[in-house]
Amino acid sequence: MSHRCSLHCIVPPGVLERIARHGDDDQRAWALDTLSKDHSVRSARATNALLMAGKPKRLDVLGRRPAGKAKRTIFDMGNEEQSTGKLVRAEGEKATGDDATDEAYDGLGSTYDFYWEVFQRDSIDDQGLHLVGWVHYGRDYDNAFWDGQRMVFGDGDGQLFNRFTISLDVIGHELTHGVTEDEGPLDYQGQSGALNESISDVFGSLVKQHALGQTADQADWLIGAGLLAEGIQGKALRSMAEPGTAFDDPMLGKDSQPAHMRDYVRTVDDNGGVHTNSGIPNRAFYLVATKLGGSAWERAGRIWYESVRDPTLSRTSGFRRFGHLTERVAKRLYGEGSEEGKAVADAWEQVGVKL
Amino acid sequence: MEITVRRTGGFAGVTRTARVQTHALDPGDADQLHALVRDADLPAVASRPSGADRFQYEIHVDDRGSNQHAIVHDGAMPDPVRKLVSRVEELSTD
Repeated sequence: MSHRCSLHCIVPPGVLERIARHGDDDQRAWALDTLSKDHSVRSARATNALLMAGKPKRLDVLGRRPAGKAKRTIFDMGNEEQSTGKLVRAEGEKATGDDATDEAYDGLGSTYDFYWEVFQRDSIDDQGLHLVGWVHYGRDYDNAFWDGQRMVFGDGDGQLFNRFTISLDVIGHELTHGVTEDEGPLDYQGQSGALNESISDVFGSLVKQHALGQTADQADWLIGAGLLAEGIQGKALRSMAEPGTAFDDPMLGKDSQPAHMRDYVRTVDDNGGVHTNSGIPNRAFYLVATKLGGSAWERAGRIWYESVRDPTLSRTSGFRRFGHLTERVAKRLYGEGSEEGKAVADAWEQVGVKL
Repeated sequence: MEITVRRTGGFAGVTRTARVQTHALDPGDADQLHALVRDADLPAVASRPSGADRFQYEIHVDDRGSNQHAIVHDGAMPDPVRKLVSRVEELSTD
């Protein structure tokens, strides 16, 4: 484990925290780098202090709960789109018996736990933001989305799609849009939009793998498994391992995701094909994770997460900029000439993104 | 008049097309659609994505060679445009 447990083993978090509060920019960068190698909750307080010192956050006027526990509220929209909804399950309340309500509650909990346990991130904003889910949104509504404040789930039409809370990775995907918006953001258009989408698929899949305790080679690398209605020919909505192969059905059409830059789709649809071209960085992540093996969130996930949080990621960053960033982060975290750095560089090359 | 509404994007990224030709409709429905198109004022519509994974609608109106076109986003749609989109989707036989 020499790649992970280096400096933090000999520098107590308290010292790092003091550097966070009183050090100059270079010292803070060093301390943050050191802490980023530590996966334990022990380092979370120091890490948070460093982030607070480096980046001003919103004022906390309401007072805070202790970090590490989700605060969830689920509203039933009663199959309306223009509705204030009805509160059906607040944090700590027992299961309601309604599938969508309980899946949203549990899924938001699994996603919160993933971000906390793996990255010591306290909710979407790392400030303990309350997680709000709307379920039974619209009638036969074939979608789930992040509206800038909450995660919204339709019931599906039953012909093409089942309810959108059915796959944990869908819930992880939506919550991650909130994380990207807080850290990035990445414009939801063209290549930066496809990157934004891919980041949500990556962490959505990792949330599921983490909850199931799966290693990279055990994971299905599918997005939306269980979402396709009975009779639809396909296994999921997207395949990170083999983009373009998730479904092929007379009603639904064929999965059109490219797996390589030479097949990048230029279109005005879907904000410039954000749900299509995301196949390219999705496969890059899959290649890194399976090359490194083990739990994908530990190294591949850490590299992606630190890249999303990197201040040099801009609104308009595309695949190449992000690819560069992941390579730099991998070398920073694991060393020049590390297998992690090489796996990242190889993966982007294999999908045709020249770094 | 032919009105086409293409819905793209959303989490699933699956395209759905609705199309109506007003001459094939009951006169009441046709009049209502003509009025909805007027109210929607498509050439004046400017829209940006709101949030993530929301639907994008591409609306195309062909009225004997005179075309109107707009791209709008769920969550950022003016009310008259929303009404037009819903009505076309209801009346479409595609």
